Formats: sequence, structure tokens, C-alpha cells
Amino acid sequence: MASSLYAEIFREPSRQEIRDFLLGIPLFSGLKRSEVSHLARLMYKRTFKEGEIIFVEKDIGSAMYIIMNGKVSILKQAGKKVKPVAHLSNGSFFGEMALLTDAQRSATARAEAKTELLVFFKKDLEHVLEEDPAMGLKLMRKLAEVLAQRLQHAITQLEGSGK
Amino acid sequence: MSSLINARFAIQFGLGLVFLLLAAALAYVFSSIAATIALSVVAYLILDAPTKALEHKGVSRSLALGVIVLVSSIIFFGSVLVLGPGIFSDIQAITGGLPSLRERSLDLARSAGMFGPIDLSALITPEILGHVQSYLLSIISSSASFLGEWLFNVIVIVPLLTLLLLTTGDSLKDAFLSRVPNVYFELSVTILDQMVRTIREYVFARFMETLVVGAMCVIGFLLIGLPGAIVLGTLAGILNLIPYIGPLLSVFPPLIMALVTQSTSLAIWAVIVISIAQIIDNTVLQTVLLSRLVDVDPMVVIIITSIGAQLLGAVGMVIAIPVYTISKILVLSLYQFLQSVQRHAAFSELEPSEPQKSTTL
Repeated sequence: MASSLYAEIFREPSRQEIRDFLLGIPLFSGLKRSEVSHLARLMYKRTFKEGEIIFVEKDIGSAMYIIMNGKVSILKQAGKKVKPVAHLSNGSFFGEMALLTDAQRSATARAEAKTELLVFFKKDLEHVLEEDPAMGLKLMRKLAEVLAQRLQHAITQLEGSGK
Repeated sequence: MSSLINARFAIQFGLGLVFLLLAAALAYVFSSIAATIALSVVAYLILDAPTKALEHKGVSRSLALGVIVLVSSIIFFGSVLVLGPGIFSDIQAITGGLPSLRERSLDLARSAGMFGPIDLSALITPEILGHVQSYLLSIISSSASFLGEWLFNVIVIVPLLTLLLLTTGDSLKDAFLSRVPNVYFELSVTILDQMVRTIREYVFARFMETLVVGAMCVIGFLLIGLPGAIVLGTLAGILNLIPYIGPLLSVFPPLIMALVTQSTSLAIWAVIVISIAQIIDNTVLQTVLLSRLVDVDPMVVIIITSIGAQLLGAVGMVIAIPVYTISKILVLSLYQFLQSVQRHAAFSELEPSEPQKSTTL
């Protein structure tokens, strides 16, 4: 236990695996390799067990999650019942609204299998925007594109359900 | 069921508060160790930001660390070497001027026509002035013994601990966070960040304020020819750290020094120098540096500072506000965290329903 803790403290943190994974994600496609390496250093890797709750609706969110491996369900509360509204897998991300607003989480996220997630915090995005505005702008533009796509998707779904 | 959850919430919140109070009591009992660690953490937080900025520019961590340690050592030891002799001669000038305090006070009061026909010798007795002298000497000697006690810590332990934190800080944080259960993770990172940011910004703002006020006073005192200008100016900058009372206290040492060694006009000039420094501090520095950071009611500031003074003396007065701000963050975060736990518990009681129109994003 002590030796593993010592090794963990004194190791040179290897972020190569995270960087290589991020390079394949469309959200980071416009960024340079060095910029993605910098982002990889800011992210945390967490493993969730099957059925484990990642966050609950109405929690104050402060981070976005990217799925490295596994499956995640997005669930909405409806009275005393829970309805799944989306199923996400490798490379998808969720909770991105927390990066842009201080609003509560609009849904619950639950791991549906053993899932490895990368966590990217709002404070780190703000830090990137302050330190490297050009890189921050690219990231924000990509986020805006994804949000616009999701909004369009939701509108199409609503139109479909109205017919 | 919800009342059971509410009761559990209240108990957990209460236990959390008790834990925080116990931690505070432990830090108070082992205040010397806690202060050494706190000072190292503060130094780490100050030096870590430029190290990371260099790293972000493409410099390796080891090189960035080497540059920052070298530059900060040059600044620290350079200041000691450059200012040391001046400070030493200033202390000699101050202590040398003390014996003439009575005569000078009587002369000045007489020349100013104060007290009219009253016999000043009866008012300003040697006993009273003896008390004043021994009080001033006790301040100097207690400061010297305090510095002596702290010299080993400040010169050896704190730099070593700071270097260790700079070398392992991120890994230490990662190792700590990797042991935090998933349910607490997001909030733990947020709380940790809020605390670090609060300390870093507060320390930077107060450090800059002390530096500018101290520098203004030193330059002003040198210009008016006040003996002991470096020590008295530095003291004025440091005393300024104490909310409300500090600026008032900072007037007395240069005032006494001017009265003892020179003339009434020098005393007036010394007060003018401090007043100008205070006006600039209150109108410019505090607005630019501190207004965003210290959003605390003035009444609360006075109460907290008094409690700090009661518990830890002058050091307590200086650290009272940041400790209060961090405690507030901890209590609010504890409340927020337990609310989240409550939501998790409530969520697990909900019944699942069949997916109707689920989507793969």
C-alpha cells in the first residue's frame, strides 16, 4: 500500500494514452498535438462499476465526461420513474453544459458496464481560455458545434414525435 | 422515507461540522507544525503558478522548476544581503533613540504650548516613560526571538517542504484524488480548486499590497530623512496586513521615532507619508486587488479579527480572514455535497421504466 502510494507520487505522470485517445475524438480534431497533450494533462481518468451513478439530475455540475471505454445511460426523472433518454459509448461525451453554465445537471448519468471516463473540469477550460485564448477559442467553437448538432437532433426528434 | 433522509442529512452535516472543528482544534494545538506546513503550502501555491506557465510554454518541468527556484532564491537571499545591513543600523538607531524619549517628549510638548501651566514632569513621569520604553523594547526583543525561533523553519524547513511540494505536488494531488470514491470526486476537485484559488489569490493580493505600501513608506521616510526608514516602512507595510487596526498601529512607530530623534515637523511629515500610502492603498490597491476577493461584511471582519487576535495574537489577526473564507467554502461545500448524496439516495429509490425513445448520441 505504502510502496504503491510512493510509486504513484513519485512517478512521472504518463498521459500518452489519454492524449492518443483524445486525438481520435472529433471534439479535439482542430487542435494541435501539443495542445491535445496539454489538455490530456488537465484531465482525470476514473473507472465506474456497472450500475454506478456518475452524476444525478439537479447536482451542480462542474465537469464534462468523455467515455474511453464502456457504456453510459442518460436518464430523466419523470415523477417516480426513470426514463433512459440516451445510450452513449466509446468516444461520446456528456455533461458538457457544466463547462458553459453554472446550471444544475439536466439528467442523470449511469454506467451500464464497467466504464472508463475522462473528466474535464470547467476550471481547467477557464484556465485554458486565460492562458491560451487561441486554443480556448478552438475548443469553444467545437463545443458550440456539438451543442448546435444536439439541439438540431432534439428539434428533429420533437418534430418526429409531434407527427 | 424523505424525513428519514432529511434526518440522516442533518446528522451527517452536523458530524461534518464537528470534523472540521476538530481539524481546526488540532491545527491550533499543533500551531507551530501547522504554521510551517501552511507557510510551505502558501510558498508552493505562489511558485507553482509561474512553474506551470513556463511548462505550458514548452519548458520541461525540471528546467521550469530549476529556473523558478533559482530566481526566487536570488530574490530572497539578495533582499536579505542588500537590506540586512540597513535594517541592522535602523534597529540600532531606533533602540539608541529610546533613552531620549522622555526629554524629547517634554521638550516638544512644552514648545507646542500643550498643557499650559501644568507641570509636564508630573504628567510624563520617568515611570510612565520607562513603561513605554520597556514596551517598545519588548516588541523588538519578542520580534527578534520570534524570528529566531522561526529562522530555522523559514530558512531550512519551509524551502525544503516547498521544493518537495513543487516536485511532487501534482502527483500528490492525483494520488489523493485517485483514492476519493467516484461519488465524491467531482465535488472534491471543485472544493480543492476553490480553496487553492482563494489562498493563491488572497496571498498574492496581500503580498502585493504589503510590498507596495511598504515600498511607498520606505521611500517616503527616506525622502523626509526619518531615521530607521527601512525598518519603519517595512513595519508599516506588514502592520497594514491587520484589517482596520493595522493602518492605525502603523502610524505610531514612525511618529515616536520622529518625535524622539528630530522635530515635530518630521513627525507631521511621517504622518503625511503614511496617510498618502493609506489613501493610495484604500482607493487604488484594495479596489484593484482585494475587492473581488474579500466579500466579507466589515462587522464580521472586526469580529473574526478579534477572535484571531485572541487565539493566535498578531499572526491570528493576519490569517483570520483567509481562514474564515476557507472555512466558509468548506461548510458550504459540505452542505452541497450532502445534498448531492441525498439526491443519489433518492434516485436509487426510483423505479425504472422501459425506454421509450432513447437516442444514441
